Amino acid sequence: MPVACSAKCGAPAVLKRPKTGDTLCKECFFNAFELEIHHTIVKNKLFEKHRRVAIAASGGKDSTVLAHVLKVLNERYTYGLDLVLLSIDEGITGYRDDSLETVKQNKEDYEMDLKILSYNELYGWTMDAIVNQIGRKNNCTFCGVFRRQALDRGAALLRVDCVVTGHNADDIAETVLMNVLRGDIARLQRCTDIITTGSDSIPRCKPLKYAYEKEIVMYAYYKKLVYFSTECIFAPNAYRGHARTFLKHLEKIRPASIMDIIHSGEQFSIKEGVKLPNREICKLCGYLSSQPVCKACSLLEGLNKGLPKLSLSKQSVQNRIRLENQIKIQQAVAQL
Amino acid sequence: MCSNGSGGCGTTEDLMPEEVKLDLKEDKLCPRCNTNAGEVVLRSKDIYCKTCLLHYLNHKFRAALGKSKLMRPQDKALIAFSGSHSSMALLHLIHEGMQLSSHKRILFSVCAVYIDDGSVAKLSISERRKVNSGVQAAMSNFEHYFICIEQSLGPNNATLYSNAEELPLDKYSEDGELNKLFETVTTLSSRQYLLQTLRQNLLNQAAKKLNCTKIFTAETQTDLATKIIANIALGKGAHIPMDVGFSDDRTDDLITLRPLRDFSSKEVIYYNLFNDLAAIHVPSLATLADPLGSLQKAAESFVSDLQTNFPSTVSTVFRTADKLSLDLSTLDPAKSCALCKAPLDTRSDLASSSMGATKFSRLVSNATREELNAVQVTSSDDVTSQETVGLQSGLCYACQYVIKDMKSSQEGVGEEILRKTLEEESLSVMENQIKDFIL
Repeated sequence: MPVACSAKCGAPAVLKRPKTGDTLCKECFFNAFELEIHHTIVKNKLFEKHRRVAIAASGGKDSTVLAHVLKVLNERYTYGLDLVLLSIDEGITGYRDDSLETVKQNKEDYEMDLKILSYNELYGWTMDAIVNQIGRKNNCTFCGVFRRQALDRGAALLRVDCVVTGHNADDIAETVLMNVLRGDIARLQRCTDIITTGSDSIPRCKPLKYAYEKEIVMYAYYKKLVYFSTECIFAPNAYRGHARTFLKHLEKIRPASIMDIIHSGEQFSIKEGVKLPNREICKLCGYLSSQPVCKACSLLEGLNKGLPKLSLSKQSVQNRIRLENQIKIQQAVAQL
Repeated sequence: MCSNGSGGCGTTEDLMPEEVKLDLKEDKLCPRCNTNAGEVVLRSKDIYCKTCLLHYLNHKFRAALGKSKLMRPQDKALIAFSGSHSSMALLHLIHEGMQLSSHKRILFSVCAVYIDDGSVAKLSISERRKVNSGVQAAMSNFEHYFICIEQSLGPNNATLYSNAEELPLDKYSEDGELNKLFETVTTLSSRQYLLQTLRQNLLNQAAKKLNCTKIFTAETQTDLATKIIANIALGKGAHIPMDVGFSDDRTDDLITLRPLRDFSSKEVIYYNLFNDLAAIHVPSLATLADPLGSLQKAAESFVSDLQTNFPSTVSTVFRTADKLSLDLSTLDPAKSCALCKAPLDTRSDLASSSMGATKFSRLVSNATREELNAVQVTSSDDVTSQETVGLQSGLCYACQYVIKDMKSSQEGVGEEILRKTLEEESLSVMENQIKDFIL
């Protein structure tokens, strides 16, 4: 027996919302999904009128749906936003080159400008070359650190007022768990923030913060949006994988638990007197950093000096090795 | 050439600190006393002999109590005893401390209380009698009492039984009101949650009746790390500082302490082994359940699996949670949850919240198109700030699930039982406040 749409529109329901358990027909689901994103945007005052906003586009489902929904809402509710697409090309053959094709398709479909920045032009290294150097372990560290900064630089180049990313509710819940497991107290506090700003960096926000991954896929599926869905070919991060599997189990037991984890995360507050990393400016590149030299610069230094694993170790070990290398050089010079 | 202990360096890889691997085949002396052979390895690198381990654990226990400066000689503490390894160890540690002749002797007085919740786990009366007589033997060194979980629903001055034989198990058996309440709750997650909360409330009741000012629970670091992960999943993150901290003062004049919170479960097991203490197996609600049967069970297997492969998991989770405090900007300290007594975390006037987003989702999934068109979303909208109604409005975010998870056909039954209990509780709190002035 067909189940009726719970919005009482008379049509038979085609799906059951993972978030609330309500059964909806296609049209009512589109309506609800879009209205929810609109609600998130308005309630959190994510955008002011006539701003230029960059959508961080990877070609995956989240950013594709984000670009589509933002375009729809921008027109429907006259946000007056100037939307552009910003993509980062990490230089991973067989993964990023294919997904960039999807982004180029998005550019045509949504009539937005597109800027592609590559690791190669920014840092002189592609991820392929980095993996050649350091192997498949730890390469996600390089990619993640570089991408963070690449987005900032791209946003500055495009002179936008804000960058939106496609992080969904599952991503946020997973990050809450990861930060507890890693003991990263500073990130634990800010990972549930919907807008993150640095001192003079361009603010970033996450309009899909409360959207379930499953509903994003449903939306893309019924809207027949093309997106690129392949895992990165360079080893998925093992430890994060555990958190991800756990989250899937929790979702199976109680579908609302994703929202519950975010609720927990939003309520965390750090005890007074707990030492947090200070935020300063990197002496080499001038971007926000928690160390005198930012992680991106120190990773790059390691790569360029042929000691790529150096910058992955502890600060104290790094300093010791640097000192020892200096002594070695002095001794060699003295011998000459 | 440089030498860094491991001998010579070539590439940086050689300079990376090597993991210390213990060769346990050799007979190693305990480095602390240098006389006895080592018997236990903790943190996968530290060797202890029996004497040094017991000394170390005793010291850790005393230090935890001493550092807090919360215990006064005239205090009386209620020990929540469950028969588990850790509660066996806790009783023994306190007993040892009271026997000392030196100035280090524990001066405060204690009593042990055991809650019989066998009916919830569907145990037969004879099984429960067997468990209880074992429990009585374990608690025999102390003033001790038995109490049935059913009494958490009854009037607020629950009778305490000093002898296990006296427990009227026939009266508190499977077809009682408590089981009616549990049967209306459909998910194991919520049943476990409800049981745990009722137990805590009953302990508070017993403590007041016995004029205790402190409650000791035997939760170890491992238990608490699991609880942290489970509570995050249950939406109870706001109360983590209370739920896992050393002291929990959510109820007036009564502080719950967790003196074993620096013990790992391994340390507890060795403590019991060296002292010939055997835990009493008490089957509980979730003992035989599927590892993925509830959020709490899933968290338990997640933490223990991760701990096997990454031995720092438990301590990292635990230390992270230790850096959290109650968020006074979002919590409402004046209003506490009727069930778990923690400050309410359900303020709906905050800018962005996952709670508001869920409410909005519910609203738009059930509204007709005309209604939707009429919805005006503004930054200060009140679509989502409608208050929840009924019993739920007095409960915190996580406790609301107990009601949400009730069978819709019997929702009234369960809610009514719970409402009656909570009302009686708040009445007795009021009575307590004015008791000195009532003639």
